Amino acid sequence: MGNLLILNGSPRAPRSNSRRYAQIFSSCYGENTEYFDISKRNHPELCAKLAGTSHVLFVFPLYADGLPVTLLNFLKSLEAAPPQNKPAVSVLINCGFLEPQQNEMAVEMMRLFCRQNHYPFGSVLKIGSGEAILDSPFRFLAVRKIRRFADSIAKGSYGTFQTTMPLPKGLFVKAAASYWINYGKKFGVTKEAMQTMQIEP
Amino acid sequence: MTGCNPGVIRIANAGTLPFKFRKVYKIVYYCVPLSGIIECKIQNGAYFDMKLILSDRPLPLELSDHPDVVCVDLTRLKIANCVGCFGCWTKTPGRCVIRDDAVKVYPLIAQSETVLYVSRIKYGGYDTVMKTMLERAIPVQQAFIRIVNGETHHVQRSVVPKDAVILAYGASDEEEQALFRQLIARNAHNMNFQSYRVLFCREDQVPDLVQTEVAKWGIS
Repeated sequence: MGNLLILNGSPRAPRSNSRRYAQIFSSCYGENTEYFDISKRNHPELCAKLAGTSHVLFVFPLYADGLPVTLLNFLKSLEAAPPQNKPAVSVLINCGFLEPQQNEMAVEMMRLFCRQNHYPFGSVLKIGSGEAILDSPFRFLAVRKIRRFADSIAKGSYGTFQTTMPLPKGLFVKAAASYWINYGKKFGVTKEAMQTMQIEP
Repeated sequence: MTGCNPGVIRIANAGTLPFKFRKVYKIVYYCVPLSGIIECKIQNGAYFDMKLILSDRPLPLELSDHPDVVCVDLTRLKIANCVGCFGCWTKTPGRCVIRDDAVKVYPLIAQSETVLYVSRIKYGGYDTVMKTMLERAIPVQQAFIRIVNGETHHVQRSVVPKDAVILAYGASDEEEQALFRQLIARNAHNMNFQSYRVLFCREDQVPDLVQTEVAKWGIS
């Protein structure tokens, strides 16, 4: 087990679910992890950090079917200032949709980055229902899969893993509605208001 | 030829416009006082289907005789990154809480029946300029989920089904092009594309290919 760098590519990194996933990963992986949020200003610092690590884990959410701009811009910085010894790259991605496969495009983009820039590719964990699963009775499924994912990286026996809430789609739609209605209530916004069809009303 | 000229806006008989047209009028109203950076023309209260060109580079187009076409040069706009706050879903539904130029663009995306997106490719996806705008367009969706083609997706607000052409330049190889094609197929579900075509070219070929595409709209 070598030292591992965790980089959070979520646009809301400090308050993100990606951060929570990273914390769970760290507790499963052991002591040799170092965690950073990617921000606009810390690209040079993080590029330098990569030079001293054997493995980097990117944790991020699916954004508009692909990589969030926060992460995309960092990868471009990394391409411009690559480390001499390139660490292996693993990916932990989550999306709010039920199907973890919806993360696949973003994973392929990461693979392409690695191929184009000659980084060894490690393991992948794709999480569906990622916005809510950690606060649901199915949290244990996410934690269990993160543990397996972490083990695969620690042992160098890389693989692809995925998990989601084990719900029928129709039930997931209802559960998601309930989640968002409660989310809106925190701001005094009703379900009907959230369902407005108007854009820039 | 001229670039996408700013601030050419003409509105006539707006009070008698049909409902859908009035919504377009409202968008123009938002655009005018801020910067005039979006070219948008409405004439004589006539109804027309809106066509949108969204580009990450200036384009040599003359559109003054085509009131149904809006050309947005994203490089001339100030658009911050989405911060993932969910405000447009849960605090001010349908409105982004970041009040920069993006709030003038996503209503245009929603209203348009025909779109031409011009973007550089990076790692098989849109490069930063276009991707930043597309991420900021999530106010056109609701937080709520529906099932589309057996998959869960967000419910759309008033988003007109679109015929889309994506003109992508700068792909490094066929592998990157194949990945981009898959991305657009995914986008079709989430961006309400009823049909789409993906075209690839070198950067220096973009102006000619854009001309070819808009010629199909009757613009020479």
